[in-house]
Amino acid sequence: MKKILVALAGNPNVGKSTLFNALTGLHQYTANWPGKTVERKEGIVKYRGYELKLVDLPGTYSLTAFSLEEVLARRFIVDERPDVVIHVANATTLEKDLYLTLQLLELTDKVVLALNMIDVAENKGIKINSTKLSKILGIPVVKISAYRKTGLDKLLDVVIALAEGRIKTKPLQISYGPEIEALINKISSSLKGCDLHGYTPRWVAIKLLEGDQEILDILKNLPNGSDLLKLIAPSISAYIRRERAKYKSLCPGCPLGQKTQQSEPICMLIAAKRRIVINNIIKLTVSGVKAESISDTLDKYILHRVLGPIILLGIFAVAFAFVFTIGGFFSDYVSSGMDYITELLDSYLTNRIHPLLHNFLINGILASLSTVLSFIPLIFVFFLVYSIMEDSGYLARGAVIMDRFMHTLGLHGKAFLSVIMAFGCNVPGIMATRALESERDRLIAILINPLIPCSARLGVMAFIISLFFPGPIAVVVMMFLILLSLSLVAVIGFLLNKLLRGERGRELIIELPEYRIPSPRNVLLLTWTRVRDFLERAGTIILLGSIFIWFLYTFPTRNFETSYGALFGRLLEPIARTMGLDWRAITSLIFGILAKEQVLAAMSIIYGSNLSAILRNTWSPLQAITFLVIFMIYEPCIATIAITKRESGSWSWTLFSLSYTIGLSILIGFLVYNIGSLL
Amino acid sequence: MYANDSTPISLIMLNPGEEGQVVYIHGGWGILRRLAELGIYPGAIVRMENKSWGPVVVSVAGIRIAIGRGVASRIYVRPLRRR
Repeated sequence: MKKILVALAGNPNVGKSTLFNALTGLHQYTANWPGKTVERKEGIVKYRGYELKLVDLPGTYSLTAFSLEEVLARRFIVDERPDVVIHVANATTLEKDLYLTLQLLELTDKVVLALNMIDVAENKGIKINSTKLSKILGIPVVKISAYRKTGLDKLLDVVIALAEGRIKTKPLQISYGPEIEALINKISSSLKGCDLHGYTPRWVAIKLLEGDQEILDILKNLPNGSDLLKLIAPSISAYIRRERAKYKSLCPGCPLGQKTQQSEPICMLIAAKRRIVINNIIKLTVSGVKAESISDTLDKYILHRVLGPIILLGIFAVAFAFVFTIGGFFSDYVSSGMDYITELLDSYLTNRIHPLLHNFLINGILASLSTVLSFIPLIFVFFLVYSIMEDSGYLARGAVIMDRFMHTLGLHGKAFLSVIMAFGCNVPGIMATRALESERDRLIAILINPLIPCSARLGVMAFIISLFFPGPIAVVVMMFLILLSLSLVAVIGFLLNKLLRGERGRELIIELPEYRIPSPRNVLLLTWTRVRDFLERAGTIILLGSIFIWFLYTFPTRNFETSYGALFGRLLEPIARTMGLDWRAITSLIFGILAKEQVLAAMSIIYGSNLSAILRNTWSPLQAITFLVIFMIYEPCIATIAITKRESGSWSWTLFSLSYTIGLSILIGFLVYNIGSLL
Repeated sequence: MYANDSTPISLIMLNPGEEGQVVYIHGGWGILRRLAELGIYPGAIVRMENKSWGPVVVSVAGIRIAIGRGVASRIYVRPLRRR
């Protein structure tokens, strides 16, 4: 069977994942790019005796070194030399998408342009002359609908023909105008014979003029690199001076020339040149005017000054109610199922194996397995709702609406997505900070993330609150706690923003995709990937941690009251007293570092199995609230600690995250209890 | 079709529904490039859609983009009036 390596490139929101899923189905797997935290999706398609290996490149708007994703995408094309690159474009936004096509054509000649969502475009009255487009671009163009699965066979036929050289391409090369071309020629002729890491001299020259960081680094590391750059510099700056003068007359009020960014006008002109070429291509190949779409009408309300935030709150309220009723419902079933299995196994194992091993299996392994399993429905429903919001196009609007609020934290609207994720689970919440470009912004978003109560915490909180407060008051108490944690997020974010140095992220610049009915297949696959990712990352850590905690509370005497864990809890009793709590409460909380939902399991070991009644008799409502405040604020769990380390890449920031949340929880717990006692 | 004699103003000064042609963008290479990728470059015609709260929303080349106010204020456009 002949093998063909195919790369899928495209902007975000063009249906690239839909196409990937439609082609590969379940024959796909995810890995990380070597040494990077960006996800790499691969899949296999068997078609007419060929085996096509599809690699889904990260969604990018271009191929500069603007972000890690873009560097990965272009390095893949240069280093792994795919037989064919499929550029997936959205037929309804072709003008925007062709920008990437032109950049791909500068890098490789094995490109197919797949015009996705052609059905949607035609319904809108947009007509695209694909024959003409193909002739101008010099590459095959195929109309497809990944959602309706039309045109996919044609696409695969073209891919195979291109890979085997039966279709010849003649990629459109842009001429950037006499002045820039002269610069490009000058630079590329001086680069002949240098090791350019697989890039062509012309390409390197263009990127250098655009101020591309990776290219600049490559040139600097050449043996004669600094001489080369010195040789080129004068002609570049002379050109820039001329351009600046031109702009001065064109735009009298513009603040020109103060910036030290020397390539600024060139990179603007190169971009403008590409755009003008694209504009002409569109004029020649696309007809039909786009009427005001439903999206435009919807946005009038959804982005409205007053209505927008209200709608946002409403949507999230409904979403969370959904997550906790549906997710909670299945969660209860799973945990009672696990209880049943545990009981069965418990009685079966009695007197058959060593009591210590028995204890280990039941209280160590099975107990933590049951925790993880009963948590899955909750996480699944949460990711389902999140994926629906993402696929429908609403999340991007959420980022816009929340942008102003996030600015007080020194972050922009994109950080909002990680905050929302965190309500489900802090692990994906922290992973979602990858959307932020600036390292400093990412760090702030990672550090405030643990303060957002995840669904595990919300579940325990709801349970304990229901023991002490009747229905309506319980809701008020819950709201108070959530508001408390959100204000802490605001305060800590504000402080970190003031204190942390480093480059601030650029302001929000985000495309607002058209609203669409989410595709069930997409949503389910997206949800499944996220759940699996969560299980892989968090599951093993929770299991290992559980064994450790089991050890702490079993050894040295196999008696809980005299175990290491209990001893440690007693040691902390003086601190607990200042907050109206005793060593048992503190010991339960230490359990929580494993996984917050473990606290309930720990409490039934420590207090006794009839937990509800015992708690009602031993705690006052104020003690319960104090307990929950501490419970809510300190570091969520081992999995969060692990992901903090991975994503921040620093043990000291991980330690900081752990210690500041613990310190804060003690401080706020102390305040709540003592102010509460006065009232 | 367009009167093209007006002086450049900041994009943020356009009212919803008004169009302008971009003349110059003041900013570092990162911002220039991200804007160009989305279709905002000297010569592009942008239409203000929404500037009620936080980032402004403009449409250009058939798509909608939300841009933070700071960046939007450094995009200079020549307002276009239909004759």
